[in-house]
Amino acid sequence: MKLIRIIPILLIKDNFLVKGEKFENHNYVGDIYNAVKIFSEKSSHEIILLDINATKNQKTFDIEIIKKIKKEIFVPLTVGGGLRNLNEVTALINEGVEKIAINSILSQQSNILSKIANKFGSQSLVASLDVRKINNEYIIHFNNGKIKSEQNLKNFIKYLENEGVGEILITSIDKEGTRSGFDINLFQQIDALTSLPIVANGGANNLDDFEILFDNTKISSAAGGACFVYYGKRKAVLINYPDTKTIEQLMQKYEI
Amino acid sequence: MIAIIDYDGGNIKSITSVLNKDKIKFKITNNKKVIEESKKIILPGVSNFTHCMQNLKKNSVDEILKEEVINKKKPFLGICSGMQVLGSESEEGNYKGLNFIEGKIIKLPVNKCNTVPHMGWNKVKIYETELTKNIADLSRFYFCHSYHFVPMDPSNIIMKTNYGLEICCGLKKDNIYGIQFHPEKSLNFGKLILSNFINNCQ
Repeated sequence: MKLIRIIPILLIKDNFLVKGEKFENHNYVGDIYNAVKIFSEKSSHEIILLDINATKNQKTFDIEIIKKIKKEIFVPLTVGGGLRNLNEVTALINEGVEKIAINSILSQQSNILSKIANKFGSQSLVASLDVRKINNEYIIHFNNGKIKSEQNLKNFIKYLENEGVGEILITSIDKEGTRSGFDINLFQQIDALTSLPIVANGGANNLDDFEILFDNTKISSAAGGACFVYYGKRKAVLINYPDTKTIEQLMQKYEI
Repeated sequence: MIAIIDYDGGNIKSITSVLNKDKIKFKITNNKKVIEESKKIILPGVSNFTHCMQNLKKNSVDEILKEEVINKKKPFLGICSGMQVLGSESEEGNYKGLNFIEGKIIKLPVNKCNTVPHMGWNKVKIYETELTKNIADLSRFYFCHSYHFVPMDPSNIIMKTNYGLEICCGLKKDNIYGIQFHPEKSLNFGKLILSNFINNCQ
């Protein structure tokens, strides 16, 4: 049985929501507070909030955002952006965040992961990995896709498992924001590498894309960005999420 | 006043934002006097079992809870890892639990479950109690856990879910309640469970 999750993933830059393509050309799409409120009201399975400029600006995810939105959000929240140590993580979890996404600091292979897992349990710890296809091989990138890593994907996922990571968010840089469907080949490869929950990200255009992913891989969770903040080919900003009846039907399809 | 136990873990603010919306009086505390003065106690939970028990012991909160919950019969609700520490022992570390409800905390078997941790909105089989009043059977609640509670006495089970195997996700023994999922993150039915605890559980 698969318990599917369809998750809006929202990007923050300078305290506003933005969306780009392939990690570049980010456009303003609106107010964070308003968007998370709508997703919570629409009963989205979870919400992921990532500050994509935090590491570059040597900042961490702004806790004031959480203080402001927690009054309106009654679905699980994952946040990430520039988090480097246990104190920063503790502050966010104490404000009411369920899961913490770690990305840039992963490149240093510090002991931050096991520290978080030992304090809050693996279920609170998400590793966020961005991969780009180069010469038919999937290569991990850090710092918002800017730093190419030498790490082998298979070995790195094993390392994350051993450190106590509870979930891995995998974003295809080539697909991100393109609305051209998930990279099924990537996620079939990931399937063979781990039994941890994977959240697939990059390329979702509509519910069919999620279904294709769930039908063709073992993966049960996936995120969408552009498809939940834009409407139509001309990219009119419209915060949207499938209605509960449609989602329930899809969930039941995989629960047999 | 509700005492929400602070043990340097836990997503305390998620619970308090629900209570604030309903204008319920509460204090976040590990202080003996405050816990004694409270009408009910909630132990929230985003934590590792060992971390949670270590911190409860550090401030002798485990002893205070024993007095208030076991001897004085104050209504108690443990959520997620707050439910798991109600048990006798856990595979997540070597610490003993509070042993308020006899049972073992066992790692979810990867061979039976699709993925571990069990994450997502699963359907819950509801047995009617004061905690589950007006909750429709097979409502969905948000789960996020790697270990599950296997109570010694199956009659303590008041909610169950299926994730490749049957998992106990709600417990009741006298004045003591535990829930595995996160009611504070489970929309309206989640809020209803919390208000049932506050208004109906004695």
